[in-house]
Parts: sequence; C-alpha cells; structure tokens
Amino acid sequence: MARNLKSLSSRMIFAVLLINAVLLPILSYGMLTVVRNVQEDFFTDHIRIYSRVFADLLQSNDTLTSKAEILASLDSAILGGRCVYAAFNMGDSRLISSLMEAGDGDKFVEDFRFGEHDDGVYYLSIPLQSGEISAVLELGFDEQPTLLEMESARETILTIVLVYLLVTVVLVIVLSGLMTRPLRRLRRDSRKVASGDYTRQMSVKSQIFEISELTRDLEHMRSTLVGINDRLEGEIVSREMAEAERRKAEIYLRHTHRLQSIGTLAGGVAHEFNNVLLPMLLYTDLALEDLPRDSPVRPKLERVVKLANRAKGLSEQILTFGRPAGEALEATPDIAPVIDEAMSMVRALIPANIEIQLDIERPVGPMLCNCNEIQQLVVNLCNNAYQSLSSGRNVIKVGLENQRVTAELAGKYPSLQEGAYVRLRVSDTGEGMDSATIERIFDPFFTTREVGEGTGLGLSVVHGIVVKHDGEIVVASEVGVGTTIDVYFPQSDD
Amino acid sequence: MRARVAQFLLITALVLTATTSRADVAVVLVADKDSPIESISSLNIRKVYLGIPVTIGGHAVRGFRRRDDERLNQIFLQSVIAMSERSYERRLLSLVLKFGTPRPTEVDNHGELLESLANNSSSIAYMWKSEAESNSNLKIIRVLWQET
Repeated sequence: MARNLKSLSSRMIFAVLLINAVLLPILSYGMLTVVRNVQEDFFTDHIRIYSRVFADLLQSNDTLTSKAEILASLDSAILGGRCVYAAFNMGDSRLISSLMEAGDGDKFVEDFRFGEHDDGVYYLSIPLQSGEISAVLELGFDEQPTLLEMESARETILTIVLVYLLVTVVLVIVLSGLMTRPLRRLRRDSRKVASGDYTRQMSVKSQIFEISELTRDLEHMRSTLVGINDRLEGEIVSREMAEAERRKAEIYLRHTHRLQSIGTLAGGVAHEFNNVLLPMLLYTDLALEDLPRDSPVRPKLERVVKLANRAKGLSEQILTFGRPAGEALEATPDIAPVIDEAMSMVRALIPANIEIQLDIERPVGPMLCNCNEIQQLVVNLCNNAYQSLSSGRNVIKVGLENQRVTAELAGKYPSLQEGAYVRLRVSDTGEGMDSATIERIFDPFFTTREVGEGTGLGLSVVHGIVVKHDGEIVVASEVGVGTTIDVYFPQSDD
Repeated sequence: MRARVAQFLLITALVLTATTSRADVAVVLVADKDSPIESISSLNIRKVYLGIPVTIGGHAVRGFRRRDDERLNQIFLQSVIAMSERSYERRLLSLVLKFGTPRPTEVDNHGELLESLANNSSSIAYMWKSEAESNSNLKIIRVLWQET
C-alpha cells in the first residue's frame, strides 16, 4: 500500500488533486461571485430604470390629480414586470396595488442592495413632484426569480467544476499510465540485467524525451558493463592460469631446493664416508701385503677389500648426485652414436622378452657432454623403466631428437630456456607412478622395490648428470598406463 | 402612579422624537445660496450626473459627488441615477471615452464639498437634509429622497 502511494501515478494524481483542491475553490468562488454580481447588477439596473421611468411618467402626465389614473398606473406597473407591489402616498391618502398577501406592504423597508433584507422583495421609494403636488411612490420587486437564476448558475458551475475535476483525474491516470509503462519495462529489463542476464538489451520506446534518453543511457551503461564483465572474466581466467603456473613453479623450485639440500648432505656424507673408506682400503692392502699367502685371514681381508670397494662405488654414485662437477664436458657434434652404444649395453642387461623400440634422429646435437655419463644416464633410465614393467605387453621406447623448447615450456621449467635442445625420451608401459611418488623419485635411496632389490640411487645419479649438463628432466606418468621421462640437454653453438 | 406617569411621558417623548427624526431623514439637492439655479428637473439632474451637458440660465451646470458616505451614495444611485454602481461607473467611463465629457467631480468629505459649491455658483450637489439646513450658505433646490 505504502509502495503504491509512492508510485509516480499516485503522486501525479495526488498532485493534480492538490492543485485542484487549491485552485478549484478559488475559481468556483470567483465564477460564482461574477455571476452573482452580474445577476444583482442586472436586477438592480432593471428595477431602478423601470422605477425611474415609471415615476417620470407619473410626474409628467398630470395623473397625480386623479386617484383612478394613479391606481391604473399602479396596476399597470404590477402587471408590467417583476413589480409585485406599488403604493402611492400623498399626505394622508395611500393607494396600493399589490400581488402580495394583504398587509405585506406594511413591511416596507427600503433596500439599496440586492438581498439586503430577507423578505424576498426589493423595496424602493421615489419622491414625486408635479407642480405643487408632492408624493412618494413605493415599489416592490420580487427577488425570487433572480435568486433562482443565481442558484441555477451556481449548480451549473459546480457541475462543471466536478466534471472538470473528474476529467482531469481520468486524464492524469491515463497520462501517468503512458508515462509509467515504459518506466516499468525499463525496471523489468534493469532487474534482469542486475540478475546476470547481460544480453538483455534495453530497447524501450517512448515518445517522452526524458524516458528515451534514460533508456539510451541505461543501454549504454549495460553495454559498458558487458564489456567490463568480459574483460574481468578474461582477467580472472588469466590470473587463475598464472596462479596455477606459479604454484607449479613453486613446487618445482621447492623440489629443486630439496634435491640440492639432499645432494649437499649426501655429498658431504659420501665425502666423509670416502675419507673413512680410503684408510680402511689402504691399511687392508698393507695388511694383505704383510700376510703370508696361505694365511687363513687373507680371504677375510680380501672380502673386506671387496666390500670396501663396493662401498666406495656407492659413495661415488652419491657424489655424482650431490656434486655434479667431475669429468669435463666435451663438444660432441652428434650424440646419436653415444646413445647407440648405451643401448647395446641396455640390450645386454634387459631380458629379450622386453621389446625395445628405438626412434633416434641423426644427427642430434651438437652439445657439450660427458659421453660416459650420458651412457650411464641412458642405462639407468632404461633399467628403471625395465624395473617398472609388469606382466603383459612390455615395451620400452627410447627416442632421441633435436627439439626446440618453446617459451611456454620454458615458462614451466625455469632451468629451460627458449631455444634448441636435444631431447632424450624414455617411456615404458609399466605400472606408472602417482604424484607423490614422482615427487620423490630423484631422492637418493628412494625406491619402490623390495628391500635389497635396489639401491635407490639410479635416478638420483640421472638427476646429478642432468644438472651437470644444464639440462632438465620432465616426468609424465599415469598409474596403470606407464611413464615417460623426457631429458632436455641444451645444444651448443657448434 | 408617579412611575406610570413618568413611563407614559417617556414613551410619548420617544415616539415624538422618532417621528420627527423619521420625517427629517431626506436627501436634498443643494446649490450655493448665490447660485442662479432655482429649480431643476429630475431628468436634468440625471443628465448632469451622467456627464451630459445641461445649461440653466446660460450657465453650464456642474455636479459634485461625495464618496465618503456609502448610504448617501446608494440613495443617490437608486433615486437619482437609477442604476447600479457598476453600471453607473461603466456608463460614465463610456461617455468619457466616447465623447470626452467631464465626469462629475468627486470630493472626499463634506467640507470639501461646501468649498467646491462656494467656488462654483452654477454647481449642484446632494447631501442629507439636516446638513443642508445647518448651513446658511446653501439653498435647497429639491428633495431627492426621503425616508418613508
């Protein structure tokens, strides 16, 4: 209810009613006053002129000497118009002609304004003088017809005013409907836009300039909002993508830092381990030299030397992971023969029932590398792939090709830069790995095999070699499908 | 008994006084005592006050009108002019605009009226009979209206 009262239509109707309430009484009062004045003036003029003429006639025709003629004149006055009472006073004689009740003439009180007294008769007196004769003429005129005309005019005016008021209100209702209909459509469209329907075009047509301008402005605002919304959505998508990239980069960096930390720790341990092993080997060798050949202790000491050498090999592998420095890198124009040689070793190590598919581009390079370490890397990767194979179709694929690293790939792996690389790809159809496993595969001594079946240093050594060659390892694996490991080495200029 | 006599005398005096005053209430046409105007018909009086030239004894008669007494004004309009006030004003305005005739001179009070009559011997004016009788410089030409 209160909402309806605040609507434009209600306010327009209220305004019109208010204006009419103020103006119509003034207008009505003014019109009634004019009508009343006109009627009063007409009545007054009429009876005064009539009386004057009648009095002049009485004075000029010497009728004042004859009572019969005076009475005849009074009767003619009564019959001639609105005059309802005529009396002639001369001295003690009084002649009366009247249409009123007997005795009404005794109420004679002269009027000077219309309706001055409530007797309904306008009385006036006129002194007459003809020669020596002086008399007074009294006339009374009925005010009722004029009062009825004024009442009729008043009713007519009030009817006109009421009709005018009614027509005005109806017109205002119609006009306000014409005005508010496009506004209601605008409101409906605006709400749809506000609820998310940005495609809703505002095309309300109106003959009212302000409304058409408002429609145009709202449509402009909507189209601007649509543009802003599209841009914001694009920005959100790009920010989400950037955020995902940042998270990946953070994971990569964290992983790299962890490997570096582990490498530093492992390198230090291996170094100290070597420092212990070398004196052990040295003193064991010296002890063996001093022992007779048939000493029963000799086989035991030889066993010690063998185990110490094995431990030394392990420590060297750990050092390879932790301290990439070592043998110098050499310029190699084509690395494909190096891979061929490594694959021949792999073929000897892996059972014949395992299919090895080679896809080696020629030539591949040039690049700076340590061929022995590259071969060790290939052997370790293939061995790792073999270890992950299970029953079924067991295939290991080894690919080598020149590859151009794009900006997109370089963005994902900070150690890669956009440019020419050599890509070694080893993939298998094994059990695959989950993300948690992938996270730790390069950790030293991490293995998914049974205790005693593996050292857990294979991929750690691979990682050390790749780092030494300023390369990058990209691992893609899916549980139950297999694993693909791409190793990128930067190509040298010549 | 004495009280009844006094009451009778009082009533008689009041009746006589009322009768006398009633007879005296009249409006008369006056002119200066030296005015050449001795009589004038009611028609000529209307002419004078409607702005129509009237000459008596070779003198153009001029009318003066008081505006400070409303009852006197209404009696004048009803008994002399025989028009409503608005009709009279319209008529005067019409004559002034159409023919350039001078409208009757209007004065604001009785003193000014007496002074105007004294300065214009061929002029006439209307006033209460009692006022006219109390001034020896005026002469009453005729009775225009009297209370019945």
